[in-house]
Amino acid sequence: MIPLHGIASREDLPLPFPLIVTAAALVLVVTFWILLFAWREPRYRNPSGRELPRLTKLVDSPWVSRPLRLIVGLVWLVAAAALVFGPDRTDNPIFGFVFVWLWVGLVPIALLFGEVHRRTNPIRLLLRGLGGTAPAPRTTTKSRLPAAAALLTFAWFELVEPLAATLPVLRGAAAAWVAWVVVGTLVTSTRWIAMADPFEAFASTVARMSPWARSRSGQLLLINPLRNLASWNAPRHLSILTCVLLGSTLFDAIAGAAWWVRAFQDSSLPPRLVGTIGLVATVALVTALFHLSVLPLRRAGRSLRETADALSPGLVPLVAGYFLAHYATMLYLEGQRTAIRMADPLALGWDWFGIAEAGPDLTLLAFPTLIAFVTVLFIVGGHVMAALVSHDIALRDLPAGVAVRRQVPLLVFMVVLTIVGMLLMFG
Amino acid sequence: MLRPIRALLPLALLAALAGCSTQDSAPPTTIHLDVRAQAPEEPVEERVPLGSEVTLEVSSDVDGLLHVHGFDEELTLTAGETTEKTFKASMSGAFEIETHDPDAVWIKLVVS
Repeated sequence: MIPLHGIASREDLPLPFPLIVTAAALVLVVTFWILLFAWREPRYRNPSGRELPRLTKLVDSPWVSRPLRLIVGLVWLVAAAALVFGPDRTDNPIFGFVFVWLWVGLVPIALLFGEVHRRTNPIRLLLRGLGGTAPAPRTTTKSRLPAAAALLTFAWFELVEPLAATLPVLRGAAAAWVAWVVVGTLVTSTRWIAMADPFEAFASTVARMSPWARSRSGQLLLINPLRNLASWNAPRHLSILTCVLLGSTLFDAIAGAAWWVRAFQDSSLPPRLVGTIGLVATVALVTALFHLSVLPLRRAGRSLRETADALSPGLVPLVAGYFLAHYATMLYLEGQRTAIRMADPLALGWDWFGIAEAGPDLTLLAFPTLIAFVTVLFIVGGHVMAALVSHDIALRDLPAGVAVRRQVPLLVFMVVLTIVGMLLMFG
Repeated sequence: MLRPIRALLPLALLAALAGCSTQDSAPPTTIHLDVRAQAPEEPVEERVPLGSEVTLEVSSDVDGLLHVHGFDEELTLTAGETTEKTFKASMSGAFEIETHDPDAVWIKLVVS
């Protein structure tokens, strides 16, 4: 059983062992450097940055938002056509659209352009009449638990469900997603979309790591990504959402490991049961360890959940780093293939952009050493950002000397996660 | 504070350039595969250099379709006959070579 059978057709080469050792050493040294020698006063309390009034005007004008929504809306319509009327084969573009463009592609888009998915979310476009596309006055801190549950379900669908890459099953999943968000919005309010749409919640979480933010008055800010993330007044249950993302990415690596596959094949239990147990156990373990590691940072009068939520922005760079390290080459190769297939959504031999003949560009894949270095750069970079953001948040409630000591478990948790993740995914 | 990471960049570029030079000098390779009714428990790992011409020579006991993932090459197998396909290993990475119906992975092709 290979997850995403027919979509992920290529695996990266394992990282050279000396590179893994160097990366692990770097992770340790940088972490302790942060702990012992970095700043002792919180720096990133406030989301301040350079205000960009002219860019704000341009970006918010209908001249930008209408064409943007029209184009993205059309892409979604083509995908929907492929889902409903396309052939049940792995070259149907809907599989690449969901598992590559949407799931993986949202991360770099959010990192580069900030909260853009919110403006083009197809469900918001659908619910335009209810005010789904109205600009958010301020980011809501309402619970992200519904989105965390939806993300866990999506991860289960992608990583466990053996028939995920078949059309009837994907149709059911897509219908369930639309119903989940639309019905919830009708019953409550448009706030439900931010709370419960897995893709929007994921994208807007990662967007907090981008160099773009909004001031209180709605002006666009150019901001240090570390500050953007550390100054986030984290929504309720963000800790659960980030742990679901971390845990399921980790489970993806476990499920690909040879020892798991062997144990999996040898067991007489049904594959869905084994996969479900594996996924839920990994997510539960990551969640439990994170909550345990923030325990010493708990301030009087604050619950463990509030403490974990306040510190969970620090996990976002780990998620983004893992994601890019694990999926960047897949996004490059399968993303291009999906583009070619999207130009022929019903498998009628169309080639709207004249790109089918040329096939995907493979230039980058001729440089395995470069790929290995960039992979390590993503992992180490994500870890360093995660440690810095956590450090800054931890300093807010405690005197520096105490805060440094009490951060140790959290940093150890991150170091272990990074190194185990690296060995699992790329060893 | 991000200096250690920046220091890696020139290294990465250097490594990329070094990796570049191996591209065109790789010799052609032939991989032989016997497809039997009984699939192997674990796929055989075959390593080929990046940029080489790979000839896949398959003799089969069964009718079927053999698929080289990633490169999207397909071979139609006929029982009792040998089929050949040549393609350029232009991407680095690990790729599965498998038959459909019965689903079995025969070779893990490692291009490096």
